[in-house]
Amino acid sequence: MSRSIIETTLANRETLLRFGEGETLFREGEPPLGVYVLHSGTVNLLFATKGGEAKPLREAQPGQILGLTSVVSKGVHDCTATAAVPCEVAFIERDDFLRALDDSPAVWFSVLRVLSSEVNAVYDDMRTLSAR
Amino acid sequence: MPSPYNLAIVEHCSQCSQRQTNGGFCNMAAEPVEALDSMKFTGAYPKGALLFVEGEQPRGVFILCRGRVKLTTTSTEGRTLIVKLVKPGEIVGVSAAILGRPYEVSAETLEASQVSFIRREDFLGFLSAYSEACMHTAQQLSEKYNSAQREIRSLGLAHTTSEKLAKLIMDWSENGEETPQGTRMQVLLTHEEIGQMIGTTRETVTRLLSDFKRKKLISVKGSNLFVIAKEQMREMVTI
Repeated sequence: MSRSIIETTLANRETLLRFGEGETLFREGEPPLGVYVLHSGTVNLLFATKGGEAKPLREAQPGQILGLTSVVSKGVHDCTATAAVPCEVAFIERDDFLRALDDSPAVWFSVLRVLSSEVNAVYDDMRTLSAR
Repeated sequence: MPSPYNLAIVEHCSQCSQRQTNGGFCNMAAEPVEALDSMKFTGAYPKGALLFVEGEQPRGVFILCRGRVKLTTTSTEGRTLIVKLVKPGEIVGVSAAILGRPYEVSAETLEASQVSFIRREDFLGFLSAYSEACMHTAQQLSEKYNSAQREIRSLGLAHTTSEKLAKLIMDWSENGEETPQGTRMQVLLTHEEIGQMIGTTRETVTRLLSDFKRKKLISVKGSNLFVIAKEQMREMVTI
């Protein structure tokens, strides 16, 4: 529900991008250029070790918004996103996204719901990982 | 009359000297701060007080004004894990309040703390009235997400518990003070709590810290921990 409100509001600001298998959407440590709404396909989220080795974190499925926490916190990407299969992605440029939030405060609440769900998902990952 | 737990309680955010230092929610514009003042309940809590418990229905959110709070969760095998150490100015219980789902973590004070409580319905109304509050809430949620991601990286990628502990100490040392004895940091956590941060037992933390001291990687004086051999410690961390 929250994601669809965000997508509807941002539809006129998005650019549709296609990524082939193995192509990179964004890299860990880079400043975010914007947010990515995954329309189709699967995206692998990876961590890099100090030695440069890529370790899988989780998979992103259609409907997920990638890069949101980095854009909102004005930080850098905390992982690398690579297309696991050919993907279709709606890209919204960072400043456009932030302007859209200013223009439509109702969208803010949807963004907060998405962020809250992401926080809960990452806590789930921690619970599972720490049991290993 | 002595103040509760020797805390200098400040009832009104608008009169709080910590506003700028705490930043975020504390340092919003005058109008939202006034609105915040009108709906919050300020209280003083002793060390070890539970603000809320994992699985409990969300009553509202808590802003930490002074003191320290730990957020913990329980692993699938029943082990307690610290997911975040909360600093003054941070708001906790937000994701549960926004989603209307049970709290995902428990919040417990690590020392005597001043905490402001806002009822869930008042908080949601506050968010819909002030986009500045939404922005700060979004930033805090992102910070919690990033902090948990860092911990996942440590839990999932570190090869040994020794590496996890070395990484934790090196992360702390980023905010440490350079002294002739090494990089100094104040560690106000018990060995048990350090263990809960890296998913291990108190006994293992005690043994590993002794090992680090014996190898002259660190030294400990009271609550001060000094990193003596920064480069060697860094080499222990592969993640």
